Amino acid sequence: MSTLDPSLHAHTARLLVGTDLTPDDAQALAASATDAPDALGAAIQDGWHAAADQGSDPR
Amino acid sequence: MTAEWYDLGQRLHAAHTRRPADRLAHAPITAAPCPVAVRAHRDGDSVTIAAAAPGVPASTATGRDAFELLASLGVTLAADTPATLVTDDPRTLPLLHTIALTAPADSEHDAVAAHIAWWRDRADFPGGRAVVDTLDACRTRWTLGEAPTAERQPSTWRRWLTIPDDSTTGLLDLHTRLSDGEPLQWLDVLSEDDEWSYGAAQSALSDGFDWRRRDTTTRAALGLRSRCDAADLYAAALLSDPLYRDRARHTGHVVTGTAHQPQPDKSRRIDVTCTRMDARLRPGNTVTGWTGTPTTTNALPFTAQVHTATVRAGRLVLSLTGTTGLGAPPNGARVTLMPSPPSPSLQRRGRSTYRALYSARRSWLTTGRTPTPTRRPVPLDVLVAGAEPS
Repeated sequence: MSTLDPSLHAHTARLLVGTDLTPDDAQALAASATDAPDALGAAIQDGWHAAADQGSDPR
Repeated sequence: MTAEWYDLGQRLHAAHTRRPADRLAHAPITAAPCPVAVRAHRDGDSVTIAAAAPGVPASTATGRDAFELLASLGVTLAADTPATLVTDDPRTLPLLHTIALTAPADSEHDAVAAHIAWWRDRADFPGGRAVVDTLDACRTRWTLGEAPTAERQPSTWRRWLTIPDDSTTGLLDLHTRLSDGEPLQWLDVLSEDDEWSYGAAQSALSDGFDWRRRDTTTRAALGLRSRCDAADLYAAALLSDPLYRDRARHTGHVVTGTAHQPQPDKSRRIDVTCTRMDARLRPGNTVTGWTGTPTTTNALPFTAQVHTATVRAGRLVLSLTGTTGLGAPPNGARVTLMPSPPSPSLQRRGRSTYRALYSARRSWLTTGRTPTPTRRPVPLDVLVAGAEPS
């Protein structure tokens, strides 16, 4: 079961239309230490890492 | 453009940590010496306002009683320091303007009404200190772990920023949070312009100029020019922030790539093979660059002009000429490019010349002779503000 708030889950699903990813996949991809293979994944990871760099979270 | 996906990454991180994700490393507004938080709402024919200032608890007033309440909080052109309107409701300023229009010229309330008119005039100067829309400022500073629609609700921000007070006093607390930290570069310049215009509004009131009258052609033209300058400078202020630049890679406003000097001994031309194809830099643009990433803050910069933009072997290549500055990149260096910021002093000089042309008898502006046309892009925010019904 997704841990995302329902409205964020719906928003994420809309942004992923046309891809094979689900909102939960996107969340796992964002937090992954492995570089994403495509532009979509790379952009999500960039955003996640930019947010993480401001806090104390390790990448 | 991949900015939406970048934002999604930030949202997912914020949801994961239950903390807002920073979109800026700096504060998007400057601290104000006299903030006044106001919310207004219409009830039938009457308008009621709730207002508070630091150290003064929230109060409400309806109709013309609002003048006394606002005056007691320092909202009057008789005050030496301009008050900053802090609000989280876009209906507030239009409703305040409705109240202002009920004050007859030369009445005891005219100084308060004229201050409201000054707020209305300055509201579409981005980055200024006259009017702060806290919803806009919050969205500029942070991203939340919720859908973007939720960010349009003040209550969402109060919940995430743990500000339980939903009165106008709580709005002041939010304003303090927003202005916490080092402000963006050039916000001080934009605040100085606000101060200057406040002085001009005070002089106009004491000289008997009625703010209800329509702008003269000169005033309207200078207003448009000033708004364009402010929008340009605010855009540059945002790009001065490393976190903002990091995101701007995904909108094409900031470009990264690898530098190559085709003829290092003969010319200062630099070719930059871009990482992405969606750069917004065009031939003729003046750019600032440095060796390093968009978040690098201590590199020596260089400036140059984009001479050509071509695609070679499926990669965008920007040819830069006229390179100046100490930070010209060596062959093979990873570089970052962005539009060069405008010079605030040149902007002011330009406005001064423009004003002089409008007052000179023999200028084409005052003689009606057909001028040589010159064109410039008007920032979208200025167009939207101009299109809004008054």
